[in-house]
Amino acid sequence: MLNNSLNRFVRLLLSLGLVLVSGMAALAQDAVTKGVVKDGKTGEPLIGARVQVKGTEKGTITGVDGSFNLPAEEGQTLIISSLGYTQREVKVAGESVSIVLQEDTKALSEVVVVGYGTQSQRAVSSAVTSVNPAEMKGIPAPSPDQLLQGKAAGVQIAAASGTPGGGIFVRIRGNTSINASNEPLYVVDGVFINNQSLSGLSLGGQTTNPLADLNPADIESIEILKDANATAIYGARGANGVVLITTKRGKTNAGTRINFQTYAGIAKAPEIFETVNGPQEAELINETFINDGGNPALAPFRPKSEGGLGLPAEQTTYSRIPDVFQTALTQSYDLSASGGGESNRFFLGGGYFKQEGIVKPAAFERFSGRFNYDHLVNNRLTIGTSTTVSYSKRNQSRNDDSAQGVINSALYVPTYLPVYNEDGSYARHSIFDNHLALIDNLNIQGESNRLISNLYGEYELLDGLTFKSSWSLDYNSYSDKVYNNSQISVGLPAGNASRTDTRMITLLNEQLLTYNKHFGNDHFLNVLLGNTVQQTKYNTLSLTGRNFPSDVFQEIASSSLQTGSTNSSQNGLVSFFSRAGYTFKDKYSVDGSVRADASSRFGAANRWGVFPSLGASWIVSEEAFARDLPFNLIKLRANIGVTGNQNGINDFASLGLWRAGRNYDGLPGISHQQLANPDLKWETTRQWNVGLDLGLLQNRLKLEVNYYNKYTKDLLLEVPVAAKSGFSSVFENLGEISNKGVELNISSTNIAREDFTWTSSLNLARNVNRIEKLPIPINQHSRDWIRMEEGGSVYDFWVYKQLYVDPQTGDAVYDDVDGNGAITVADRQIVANASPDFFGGLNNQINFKRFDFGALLYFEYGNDILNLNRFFMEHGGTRNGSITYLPGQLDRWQQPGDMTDVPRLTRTGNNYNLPNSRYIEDGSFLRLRSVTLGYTVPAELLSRYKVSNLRLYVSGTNLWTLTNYSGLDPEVNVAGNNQNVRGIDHAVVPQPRSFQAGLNVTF
Amino acid sequence: MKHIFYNYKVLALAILVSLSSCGDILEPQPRLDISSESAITDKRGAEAALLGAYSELQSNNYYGFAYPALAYLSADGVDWSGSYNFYQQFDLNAIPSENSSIKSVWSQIYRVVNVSNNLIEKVPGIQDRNLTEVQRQKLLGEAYFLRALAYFDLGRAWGGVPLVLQPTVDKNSGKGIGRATLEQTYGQVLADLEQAEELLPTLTVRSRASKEAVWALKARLYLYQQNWEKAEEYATLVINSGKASLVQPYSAFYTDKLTEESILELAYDNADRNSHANYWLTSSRGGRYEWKPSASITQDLLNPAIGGSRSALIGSQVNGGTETIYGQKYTKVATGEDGAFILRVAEQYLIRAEARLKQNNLPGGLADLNEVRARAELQPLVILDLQAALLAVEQERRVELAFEGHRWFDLIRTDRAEEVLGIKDRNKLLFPIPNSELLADPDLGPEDQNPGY
Repeated sequence: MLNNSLNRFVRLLLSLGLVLVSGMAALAQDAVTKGVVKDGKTGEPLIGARVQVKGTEKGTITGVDGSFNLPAEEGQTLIISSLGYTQREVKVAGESVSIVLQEDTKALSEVVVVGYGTQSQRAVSSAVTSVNPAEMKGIPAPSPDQLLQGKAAGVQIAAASGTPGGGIFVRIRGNTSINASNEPLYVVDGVFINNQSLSGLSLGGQTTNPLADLNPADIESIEILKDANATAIYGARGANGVVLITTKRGKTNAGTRINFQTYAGIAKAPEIFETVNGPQEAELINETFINDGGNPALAPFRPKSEGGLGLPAEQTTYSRIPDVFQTALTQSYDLSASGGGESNRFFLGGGYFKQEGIVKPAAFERFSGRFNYDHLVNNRLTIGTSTTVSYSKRNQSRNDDSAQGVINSALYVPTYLPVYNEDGSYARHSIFDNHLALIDNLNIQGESNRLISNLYGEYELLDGLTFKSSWSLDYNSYSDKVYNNSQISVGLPAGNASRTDTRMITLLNEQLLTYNKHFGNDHFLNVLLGNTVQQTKYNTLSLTGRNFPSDVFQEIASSSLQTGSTNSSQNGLVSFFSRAGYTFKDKYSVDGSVRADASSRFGAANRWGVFPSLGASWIVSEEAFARDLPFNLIKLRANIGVTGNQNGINDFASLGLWRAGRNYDGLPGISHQQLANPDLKWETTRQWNVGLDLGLLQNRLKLEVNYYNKYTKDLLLEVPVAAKSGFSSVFENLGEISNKGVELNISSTNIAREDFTWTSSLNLARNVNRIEKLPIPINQHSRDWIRMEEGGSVYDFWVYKQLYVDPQTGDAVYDDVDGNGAITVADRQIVANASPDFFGGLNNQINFKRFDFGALLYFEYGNDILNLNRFFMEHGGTRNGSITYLPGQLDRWQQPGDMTDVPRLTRTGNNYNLPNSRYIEDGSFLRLRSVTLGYTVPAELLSRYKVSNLRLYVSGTNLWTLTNYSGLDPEVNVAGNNQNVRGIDHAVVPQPRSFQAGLNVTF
Repeated sequence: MKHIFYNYKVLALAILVSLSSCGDILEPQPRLDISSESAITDKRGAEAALLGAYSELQSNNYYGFAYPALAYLSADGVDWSGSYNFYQQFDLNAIPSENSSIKSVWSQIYRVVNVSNNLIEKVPGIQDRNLTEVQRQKLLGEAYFLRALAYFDLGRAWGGVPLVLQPTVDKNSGKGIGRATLEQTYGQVLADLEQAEELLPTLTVRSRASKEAVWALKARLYLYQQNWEKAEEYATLVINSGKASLVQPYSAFYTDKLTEESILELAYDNADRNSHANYWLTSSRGGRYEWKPSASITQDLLNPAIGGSRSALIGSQVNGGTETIYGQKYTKVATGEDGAFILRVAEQYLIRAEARLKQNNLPGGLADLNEVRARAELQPLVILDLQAALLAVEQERRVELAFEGHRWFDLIRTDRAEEVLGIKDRNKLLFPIPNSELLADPDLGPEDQNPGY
């Protein structure tokens, strides 16, 4: 709702003059009252607040640490004011006073960051959510996107797994696409950054999160632009919402502030997997054998003397699962200096973050640095930069949908089978590797180098008219380094290694002309005009080596069979855009924007796309008739606009192509790759949004409601074609998807006393997704568990619906949809959906004296989860004895009359072979995402150490989860690499429960 | 005022700079690909496309392993032992039409068809002085052969299939082509083989189609069509060509590469790997042990009177006290060089043996059978009864051609599958048309599905 940095900066500038004047005056005095002025919400010191003795000329301005010295006698009254805060009067009592100012909501809401600039908060007609990073503290997440969970209505955020640095699912107002991207656009200080994982490794569907290259500690504010009027200025990339990240900058004439923050923590899995024990497993195997007509005398688990494996009761249980889990450590350090002189301001920061995974072996480590600098060349020209560099390193392992996964190798292996062979070597069973071999020998490293930099010059041509030109770079290189030694199955027989270096470089040039002008008291006009030219280049280099002389050698150079390959691609985007806003009497505002984008991905005929928007707002509470209503603010907003999408498709999707590299017998070959579609064009999303903002009780209770309606047409769809053509699909603009939803945000200041404040905010959102048009259904994931079809929605589960288990025969009875007496594919149906019916967060913040307490609850309701662990491990004997059982299998039907939903054990028939509804569960959950308790050490204890602020805190994450889901964690997603798959649990690392302790000190 | 003017110039300059580079930015060229139109326009392009067709043929989804695997899993020599239940469905002969392997194999075979169609259409018109007439004929001959092989493999597994003979240029290509009958499909195979026979030279490279390969495939096609005379004729042509012979010991043809045994064998190397071994080997040997030799074939192969030196196909390891049996026809996980044995001479002897027996030539048939047995270090069989001799050929094919995907089709063409494999529903002898095809192909309706699916 506000932009702190800008406000503070403006306040600072305004008070500059006063500092000089009143500072001089203060020098002459003797009896001095000391004091400190702080923000009532954040507890941070207020710089540049005006303190004046009532009825006198005596006054001063608070310094960098919020402190002031003013000659005042006891009994006199001080007037404390600061831009954006409600003025207070305090009687002097004693030598030292501590004053807390509360935000003046009306005044403070002056500007909000939007695309390519700011807009007056009162005039804005769009749905924009600002997230204050101060609220995100206490969650030990490596990337900023994960910290947004539960903070913004309509923004669904979920980690795919508990692996540090792993993929995060982010959706703003639902899925608009099937084959193009559904990810929002991320803009950091004006640079469009890549958020596509560059790792080329196949690790069971796990992905890496490129946003983990950004250090959350550098962030000043995050704005989430949700509706079309806010995002249309981003044109062809605005359809999925835009996340604007603004990093910290210094302040002119503020001296230098040194800040050090650190925390350390431990994390554990709240629960670990449980399976049946050896004797139970043997019983189940025997039972399957007998049920399938086997001679009981020849059951596999019969006495050893009779040639069997021993009686079930004689089986040993070998424990594996606890071996793969660990107590994981997290540590984070950030040191920064910020400040500025008369003509410059700077922020210089460095950070180190390391987080271990709760499943061995996994870790994420990041070194990052930031340099933000602005230089005021003269009173019209400013030049500056925002630059960050980071190096991050991941220690990865296979999990999820991979037989060579660490969890898989511990979870799935029959429990009666030993971990070691008699000779002490690792025992491997059926398709799985030995889990200890994997933990000890896996060597999969991912290294990311990132440079995001922006250089700009801004010139004020005339009063209110400024021109800005900026040049940006997002340099992202990622190396996958894998060495499989001969101790693990994938490295047999003599080791193999691979290395893939991927580089993605985005160059961006941007020109902006802005004009802001008040005409008289009643008219305010702002106009923006700009253009950008963007080019993205992508290339990879991959090398493999096989056959190493021994496990000691790990470099590809040491191997005897080597291959190498390179690949490259590029795309470009040329854009022109404009926005204009007009406000009359600070009550009525209209604004609109238009962007024209030309993309290299489409043929010349469809290259240009034009994306307009229009919005209006009306502050009803300013009207005479509303004066007597009990509202401080009534604001109505409405807007409509069109945005586009071209991300996620390949750079040459419209061309008919033949690909090289289809080699044979050492000779180069080519074969057909892609069918041409010269008519290919943008996906377009039309969205309208109506909103109401209310403020009550001196704005202590605020309410924001939005209703939106998004309709996406011309989906960039990979439409299946008849395979007899030799092709499997063609990109076409076919299909339509709608998202409709409502978002509610309530924030209240429950208690606002000087030394006791309590604020709460609740956000709640519901999104209804519907696939309005799709020529033929599209199935996803192995066994087609998920289906997208017309009339359905994304993430629908498509299965055979089990009605009951026949108590007489023990066989599962499935819904025979077409009533033909046989269970065929025609009987598969959609029975559940992985998207929540609604979701949101409840945040509470309490400041009591020097203590602060925060708690965040996050919830999703109505989302279903397909528990594939149960599909694979309540298999009824169909897995050939290669996979053990979950305890749920013990509830199987055994004899006529048994009432259960787990059918008779058998290898044949449909009891266990079909993808059926039995494994789909309600995944609703309510989770205490984080709790933080902090203490700010009194300034008087610190001043002698030149410490202006010291806060100590402890926090916990995921301490409590309420759910009926039977798996380890309801926040799971196998196949994070497929955006059309969601809500499937399959040997996924659960979300850790963690405890942290930290401190934040400012010098 | 002056500085404002100056800055307008800067502004104009900045915009100019940014626009001048637009042309390049908006029209990048693909680096890995060329346009369809320029794909087969000269000698090098045509040769590359032909190699591309072989590359599609050697794909994992076709001869790399999947096509033979679907056939051997469906028969009695191989049991599923892994975790992919879409393979188990073949072992159980209960394949739903949405089985993912059915879809990927079907699609992959048609990829070979399309590259071949492109060659057949475009090679005759290539204007390139470097392309000699002999080379042109060889290119065309190989393309015809590959298309014949593809349609033969489709036909024997699915029955009649859509016969697409023109290259695909856009999504409307092939419209109107529904399922042909099996007779028409085999008719097309034969027509293409006749073309190839004329165009192709005799065998020089075993990894490429040759006149001998055409004869060998013709012999097999005639065998499937029960045209015993022709089957014998073409098998004889192969055997008498002197280009291929039974190698000693049995295991040599799959432990080595492109041996004398092979008439057509797909070659793989480290850069272009075959992953067949991964499915056969245990995890202790670097595989995923998705399937294993069945108990019955293990018994037969290890029986000195039946398997002979073919016992080498069975591997055994003891892990945690239990013995695990695995197949070792495909074992080269390190180099990825396992071959795909499409046509080899032992099969030709067995084709001729069967064809001769069917023509009541008992001594001739037995002679061929015993050639194969002798190589496996087995005593010659002396049988006086034709029916018994035919069964002996069937049994010999089972062990000699084990894990190569013949038995399923053999039992179907001899109408013995139901009896031998215990399949109760005759409809299951054909694979289902992939359900996705019924959805994606306007020319295939539900009525085009094979009965029983």
